[in-house]
Amino acid sequence: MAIIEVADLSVQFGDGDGAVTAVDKVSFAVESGEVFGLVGESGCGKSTILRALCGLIQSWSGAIQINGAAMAAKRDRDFYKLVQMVFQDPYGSLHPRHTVNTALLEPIKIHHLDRPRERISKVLEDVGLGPNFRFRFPHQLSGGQRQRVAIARALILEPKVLLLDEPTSALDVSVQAEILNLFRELHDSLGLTYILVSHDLGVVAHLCDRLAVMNEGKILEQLHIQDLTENTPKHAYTQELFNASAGYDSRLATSSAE
Amino acid sequence: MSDAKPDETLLDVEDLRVQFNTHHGVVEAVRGISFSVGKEKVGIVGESGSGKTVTGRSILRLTPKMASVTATRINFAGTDLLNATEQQMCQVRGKRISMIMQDPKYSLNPVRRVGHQIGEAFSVHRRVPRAEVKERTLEMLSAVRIRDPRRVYDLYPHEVSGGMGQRIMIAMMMIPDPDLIIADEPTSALDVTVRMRVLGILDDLVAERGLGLMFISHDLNLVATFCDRVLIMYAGRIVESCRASELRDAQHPYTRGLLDALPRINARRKMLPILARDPAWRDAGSTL
Repeated sequence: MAIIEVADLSVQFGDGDGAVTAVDKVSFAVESGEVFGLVGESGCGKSTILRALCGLIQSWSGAIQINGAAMAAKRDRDFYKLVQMVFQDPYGSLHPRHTVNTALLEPIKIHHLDRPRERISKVLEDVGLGPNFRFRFPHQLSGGQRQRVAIARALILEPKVLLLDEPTSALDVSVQAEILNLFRELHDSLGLTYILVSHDLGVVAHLCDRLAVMNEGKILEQLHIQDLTENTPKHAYTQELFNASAGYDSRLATSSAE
Repeated sequence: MSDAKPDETLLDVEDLRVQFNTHHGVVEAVRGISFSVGKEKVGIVGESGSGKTVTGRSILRLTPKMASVTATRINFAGTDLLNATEQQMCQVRGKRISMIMQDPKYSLNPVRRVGHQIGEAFSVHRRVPRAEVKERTLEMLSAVRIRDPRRVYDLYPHEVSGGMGQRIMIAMMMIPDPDLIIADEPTSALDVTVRMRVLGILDDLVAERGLGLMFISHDLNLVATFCDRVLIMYAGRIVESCRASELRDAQHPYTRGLLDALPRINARRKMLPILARDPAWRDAGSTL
């Protein structure tokens, strides 16, 4: 069963002559338990889709269905027990003067949940941080540890869907590997559904089951991961991304003026 | 793809050490590295904090005041940079060794037209009429494959895209005709397809003008395909150096660990191997 269905989603910023269509009539569906990737270059609208999905952008048109319910522009509190987001930059997404405990306590308070202490210890354990991390401040943590705290904060309401916006692009490769493994473990143990936005085809190929390639606000094609790993995409742009991801090639880098 | 011959060596560094004297004690950022750069593309790779950026900056003496830089030798094409006066350094910086930074958004002056900024890099080192500076600037803009140099000359930095901004940076660094370029993550802020084009420009210019290039990056794939030689840094030391084409057969466990930890497009693995750091790497020297 599709847990997320998006039909003809458009997002426009500004109005009149200065209006920019960031997302242009995008449709896709994500099955429950699936990992779906959104790939494209900066400005292609991939993050905007995530923001519209989780209600951070309210001026969109089209239809979004999550867990069988049609979404309004504004989301109620219960929605966030279902869908949570992990942001790119763990340095920017954690409050510098809040301890890990305070950060994790906030969603619990907002949703009036019981057993706060128990929930916090469990979620810290889930993301591979010991109980001694509980009263640390973000500046006392490494980049990877911060991202684990951000993931813990997203998981504490026990959502079914995680929206991941470039979750490893600010991290070194060795730390990225640890966080990608964590996402895989959490997916398998908690039965989560992910939508992963990334510009890194390697990361997408590693984690996703299916992906959509975007350019200029449109989805160019949707692929199964085998199509990508075996390099049989149909669209020329996907091919270009694939080649450019493999590293430098002087034959492909030939003249193009700007 | 050949190693530099001794007579072609541009930059020769021996036993470079950089320490930061912070409130919390001394931090050793670079701990005794030696390398040389000829007319070739030398990649320096490592994770954040490995000392690769500090290495590039200490050669140009661009480190902050709290840093102390020591070395047995820093020679650049016959000039002793270690004992050069500040005045002599000004003759080297920009003119003979120039530096390309990561993000054009922060490196360009937001309130001056890009053409002026490129021209300034030229006129600061040479007494030439203004008309000639402009002419050289326009030539340089077309050399970095900007289609309409006259239009771009008059633009402000916020009016150009990331890829064009980086071309402008390259133009600015190339216009004084340097012998060596230190490029610190020059393409990390760019999309993959734009990155390819910018690297193509850099590659052509380096080949045409016979320059040396120090290419600092965290991206192993990129360095393996773009550079001639690679130095791998870990905790302020060079743990391995090899030809770029042979990077994938690297021997050092750190390099191997980094390569294994990269997600691959064409070989899916359920879990990625985690890099286990051996404390012995910190103190062991280069294996080669």
